[in-house]
Amino acid sequence: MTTPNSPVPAGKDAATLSRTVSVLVWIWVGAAFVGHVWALRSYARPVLDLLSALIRGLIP
Amino acid sequence: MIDSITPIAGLALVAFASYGGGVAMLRLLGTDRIFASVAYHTTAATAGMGILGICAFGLAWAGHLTPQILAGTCLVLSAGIVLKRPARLSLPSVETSPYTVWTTILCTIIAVAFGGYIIAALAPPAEGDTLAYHFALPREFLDAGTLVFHPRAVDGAIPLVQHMTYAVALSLGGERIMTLWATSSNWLAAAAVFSMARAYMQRDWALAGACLLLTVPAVIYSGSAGNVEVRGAAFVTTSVLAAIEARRQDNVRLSALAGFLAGLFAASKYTGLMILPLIGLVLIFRRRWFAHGITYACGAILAAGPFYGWIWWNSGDPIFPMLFGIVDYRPGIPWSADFSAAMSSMFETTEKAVPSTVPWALAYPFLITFQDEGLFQSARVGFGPFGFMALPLVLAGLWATRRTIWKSPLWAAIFVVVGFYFTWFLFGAAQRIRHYLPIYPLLLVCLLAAMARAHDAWPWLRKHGIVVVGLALAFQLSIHAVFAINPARYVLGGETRDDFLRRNVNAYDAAIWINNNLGPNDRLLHIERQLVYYLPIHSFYAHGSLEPRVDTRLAARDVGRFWDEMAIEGITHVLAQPHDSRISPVGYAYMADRLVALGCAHEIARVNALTLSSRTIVLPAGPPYVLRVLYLDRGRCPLESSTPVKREPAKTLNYPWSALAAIMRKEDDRIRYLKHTAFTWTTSQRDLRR
Repeated sequence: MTTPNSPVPAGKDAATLSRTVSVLVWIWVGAAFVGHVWALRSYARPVLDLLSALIRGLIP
Repeated sequence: MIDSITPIAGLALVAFASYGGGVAMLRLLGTDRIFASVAYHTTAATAGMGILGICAFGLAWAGHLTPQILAGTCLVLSAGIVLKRPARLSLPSVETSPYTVWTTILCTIIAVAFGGYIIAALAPPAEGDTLAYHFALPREFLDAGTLVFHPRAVDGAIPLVQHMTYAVALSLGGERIMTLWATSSNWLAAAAVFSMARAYMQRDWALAGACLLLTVPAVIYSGSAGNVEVRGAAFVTTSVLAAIEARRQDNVRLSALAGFLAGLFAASKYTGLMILPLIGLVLIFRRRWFAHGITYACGAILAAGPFYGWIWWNSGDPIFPMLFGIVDYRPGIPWSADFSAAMSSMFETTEKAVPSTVPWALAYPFLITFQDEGLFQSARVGFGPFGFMALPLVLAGLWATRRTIWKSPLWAAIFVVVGFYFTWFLFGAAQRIRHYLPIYPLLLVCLLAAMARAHDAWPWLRKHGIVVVGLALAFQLSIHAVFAINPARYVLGGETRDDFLRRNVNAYDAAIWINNNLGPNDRLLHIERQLVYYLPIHSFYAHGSLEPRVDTRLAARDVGRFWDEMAIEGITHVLAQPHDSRISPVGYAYMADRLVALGCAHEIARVNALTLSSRTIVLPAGPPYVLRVLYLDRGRCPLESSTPVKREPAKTLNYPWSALAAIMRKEDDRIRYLKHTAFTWTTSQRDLRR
């Protein structure tokens, strides 16, 4: 089902196209998130160190 | 018991004063029945915060900055609450939307975020800019009972509306109430996002916007600090909200309100001068352009005028020192072309990572999202991944509304965002990401509005939207949690104040030694900006590129001049590192070393210090260094002049109104100014030296 505004043509191709758009959006969202996290990779170790120190402090 | 009640009462009084002043203003302007519920309260509290700052500024300028008078002022402003509009009123309402499980989740996230902020606010202030001037200036003003003008660029001669609200909080409740006030007033930016978003989308989307703003690292970073950008975001967002309504209803009263709110941002930071014309342009492109323009300008001048007038009054340059060479400076303001060059050089080397050109402006959003730290500070205190993750949904929303989008009121917000972004990038002084924070809420509302439209048009995009917002929030909340660990060690872990500050403030041990060993008649010269708040009031902070009264530029090497300038400022001690003989014989440390070699200064203490790389996470610290406390021995120094040293006057004023201004300038203001900035050396003080 599509709305009148939809760029997706009505008919049997519509579902295929919406699935394709959906997959592309997922890929974009995942890539953007991973890309941002990857940019911060140098902080992974310090954060883990901080958390492990915190846990050690909490659990005698 | 009383001790704990008094600060809470102080915070409540400041909050009520802000809200009451704003409510009264909306009523007097006749704009109190225009906004929907949350927008009304947010706009009132935001405008009221500015009114409180303006009132405190006026009192301080008049020399009446005392706790009693400030408390009285807060009580008077609080009384404005009686002018609050009736709760049961036929008002413009936003689209009703059901309470859902998402509403509960998002409200819980907001509560958790508030908790993180409160923990941070309960710890002593430790952010660099905050210690250098955001909290240091209010403390100094309160001690002096009046304003103290420092002809120091960037962090001395600045518009002060937000700092004056800190002064009120500090005066009424002490340091902890000041940090709690700084934190809670920052939340107005999230409320502004919700208020604006609610006009264009359902409640859950608007709540998501508030959550995203509250947990974005750039806001977390400023959360309990005195940085002005987040509250500036509240001013800008509510101003655009008022401007949109002014256009829609053709209401010039709302234009005045928009001008006042935009003016408050200009009264917080020079950057606001770039926002002012942009929102003004939004208002004047319509039929009654002159009426809207003039009321907008009046509102802006009312808010920002006193602060720029004060800077002009003291220096001759309302945006000190941007107009150096264009306007004449007051006598005694020792700014020079050398300092202008040093300041420009400092900004170019420490504040800019890429050329200020259009291609780099277009690349900047990619860089701040996908590149490591750099000079943008985007990794640790950036805007997070939300913008890029949301992009396909935003484009879908634009496509879905392509036939009606040109009528959207949000074009005003987009115009301000794009206009400010390019203006600041191409002509601004710094590329650090937080300078864009004032327009981020507007961008957030526009992105969420487009996402909401995409969701309305194609419900199968709903899960994408949820994942985008959910992932971004989860990521940002985890950063918020990591950020809260450091203050939690102090608040919940029983750490002492000094231990916390040793972990978080470079060279804090030097402050401890100085506070324990120097007296009220001593005056210490130093360049440790992070210590200003924790050092005695009469210490003198010299910046190598921004402070002209004592020349400590990197290229400075004239020890005789250095000695004379210290004499003018009444300096008795110097805090400096030993000069490294491997580098050129210039600069502050070199001149301090020369004083020791000449017998003009004697080392009386050494303090070890570390350069901390992060307050939040464990990063390798910089190399340890030593700070020496030097006592200046004027009796035996060959540099000491036989005649008293006086500063050469700057150029005389050539303004046509300067004669009138000179007559109006009260002599007692002059004395007060001299008392706090030009401490005179006397023989009796010399006898007190050890």
